[in-house]
Amino acid sequence: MDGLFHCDRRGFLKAGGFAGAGLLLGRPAVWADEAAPAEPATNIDKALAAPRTAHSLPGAQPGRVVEVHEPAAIAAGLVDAAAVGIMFRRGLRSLFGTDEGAAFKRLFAADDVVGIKVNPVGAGLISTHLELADAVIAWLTENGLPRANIVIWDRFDIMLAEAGFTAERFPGVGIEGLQTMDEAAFEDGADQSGWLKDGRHVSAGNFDDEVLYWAEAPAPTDLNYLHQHVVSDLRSPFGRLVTQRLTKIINLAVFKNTGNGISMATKNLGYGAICNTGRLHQPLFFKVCTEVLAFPCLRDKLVLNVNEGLVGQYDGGPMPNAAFTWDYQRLFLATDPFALDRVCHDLMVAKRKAMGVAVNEHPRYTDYLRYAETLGLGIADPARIEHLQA
Amino acid sequence: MRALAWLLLVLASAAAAREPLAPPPAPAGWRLAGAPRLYPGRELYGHIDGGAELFHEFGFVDLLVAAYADSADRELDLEVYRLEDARAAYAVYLLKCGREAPLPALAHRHSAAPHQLTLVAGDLFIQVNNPDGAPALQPAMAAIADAAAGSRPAPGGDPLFAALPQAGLRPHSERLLRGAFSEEPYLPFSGGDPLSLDGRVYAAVGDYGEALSPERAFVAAYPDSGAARAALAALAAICRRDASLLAAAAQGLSFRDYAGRFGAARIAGDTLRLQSGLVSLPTLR
Repeated sequence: MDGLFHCDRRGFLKAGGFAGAGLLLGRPAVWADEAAPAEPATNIDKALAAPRTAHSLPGAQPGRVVEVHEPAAIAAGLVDAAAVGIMFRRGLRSLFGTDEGAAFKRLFAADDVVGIKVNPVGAGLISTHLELADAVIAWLTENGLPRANIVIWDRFDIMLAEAGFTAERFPGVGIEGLQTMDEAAFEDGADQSGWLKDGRHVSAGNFDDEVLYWAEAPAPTDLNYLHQHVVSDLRSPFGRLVTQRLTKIINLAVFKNTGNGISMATKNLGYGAICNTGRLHQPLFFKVCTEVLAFPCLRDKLVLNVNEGLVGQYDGGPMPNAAFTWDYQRLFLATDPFALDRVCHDLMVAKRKAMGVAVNEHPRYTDYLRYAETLGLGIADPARIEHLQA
Repeated sequence: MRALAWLLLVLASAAAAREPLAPPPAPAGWRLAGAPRLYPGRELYGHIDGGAELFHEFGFVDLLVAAYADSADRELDLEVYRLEDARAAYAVYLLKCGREAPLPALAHRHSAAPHQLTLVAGDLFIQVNNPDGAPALQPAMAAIADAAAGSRPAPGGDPLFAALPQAGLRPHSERLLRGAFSEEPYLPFSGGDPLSLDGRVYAAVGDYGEALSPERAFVAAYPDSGAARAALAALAAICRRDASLLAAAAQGLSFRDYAGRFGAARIAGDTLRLQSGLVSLPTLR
């Protein structure tokens, strides 16, 4: 690149190596030190005060991430269900160093109620594949868990249906959205009868006022926001399904970007288990992915995470964008969602670079993972992560 | 000449009364499936909750969403985003189109892939999505996008691109930025709005060299020299916070970023120029 800077030394300083680092020539009055904007206060201390259990994050295999690659799993968008099942079991064996039955016994009891958190955004393109859910359910039921003790869940009921997670497709298994979405009301804005009763969202009762993520980040107060977020104050209650009914959680995220970062395991739960999240994106974004997972209702129940990379999306996320998807043919398994996202973040960066997409690798975009390590929730230091190929 | 073309394009867009967006007629063998939906202003969050900010940064006006189906019930989804003017639509297109792969039969500026066709025309940024990815539907995708674009003019480049250093500029790497969301992947800082574009000022960026982590050059044109000076001052503060500010003076600064690469910025009149990702500080003459 030819130089932009043609000036004399009085107009512009050339720093001769590092000896001049920090030297300031002239200090115009308009320049003021700028501290990083203060982040909103949260109630993370409340989460950290709760005693840990045997199943608390980072779970049975801290820092271990298993990558399973199977070219037969997907081709031209067509998924081979049998291959996906084989991949999942291969990953389990590698992750736990034992057979699938023993792995089940390490994580579950016969009376557990297991929630399978899927990501249905981008139905049919970059959503959790039904075949992966099948593989997980087969593993659970083969080891004695009744189908009635399994719930496929997400925050939005309508998205679950659009992505194919229906009672017909998964007979005997619960299908639950934490909240309802009334698209017709959203489109014309006139008729709120389907979602607004006595000034409250009809799904308000699905969220637990006693277990909530609190953050000093004001929410918009318009009806559209309330329709999508159920609550519009400083509280983000967890779904009652998570706090009261589920005893274990399996997290089936997808392999996609969100802007310059990733939207995988930690975001699938961080923004999927609570409501009133729109207000959090700007001031706290990735930090939410750590702090929400620090609450016992997730920290002590989340036993397995899969970043599903049968299809990956390297740009345009978090919304689906087919122009940037590719058949990645991979599953990534871990009990430690932060190690998992650390590995997948680096893989996403490499993919984006390879495809000519601009990437900002500033540490800020992985700060939330290191933060999780300081809280004892996972391993984020690549040097301490065991990345296995299975 | 390009600047004049842009001016005429912008004036034409501004002069055109904003009629309600309407879906174009379905091509032969296709029909409109269901009622089209319109998302004005902030209601865009209801359609793309995680991606609306970028559009708002470029003066989003409204979005039309319509579905088309053929006799076999295969579906194509049309999204027509209207921005405040043609320059804004072009900027969004460049940020969204990826590596352009045009079809020979479609005259408008566009990029086609099996699952998605992306097009820009006048103040419209248009996408046609093909959920199944069937290649046989590409002609219908093109027809729908072409009809949605109508007679709106194609973009003619941007005057800021000519202000970027041309030597070593990676072909087709030029982009337009206008605030925090578009700046985020390009500048080596922890986010925010390092160039003080604030959704009002445009900057151009281009990549240089063949490395996976390229050198970059930026040019931003502010309303006046005072705004440029204020932008440099704000950039210096961000360098102090996020990098090592190596040197600073009234007209420029240099820094070393989180990865140990160098950058430098300089103002002249109402223009700020910045280079980043350099393996050494630029040689000054």
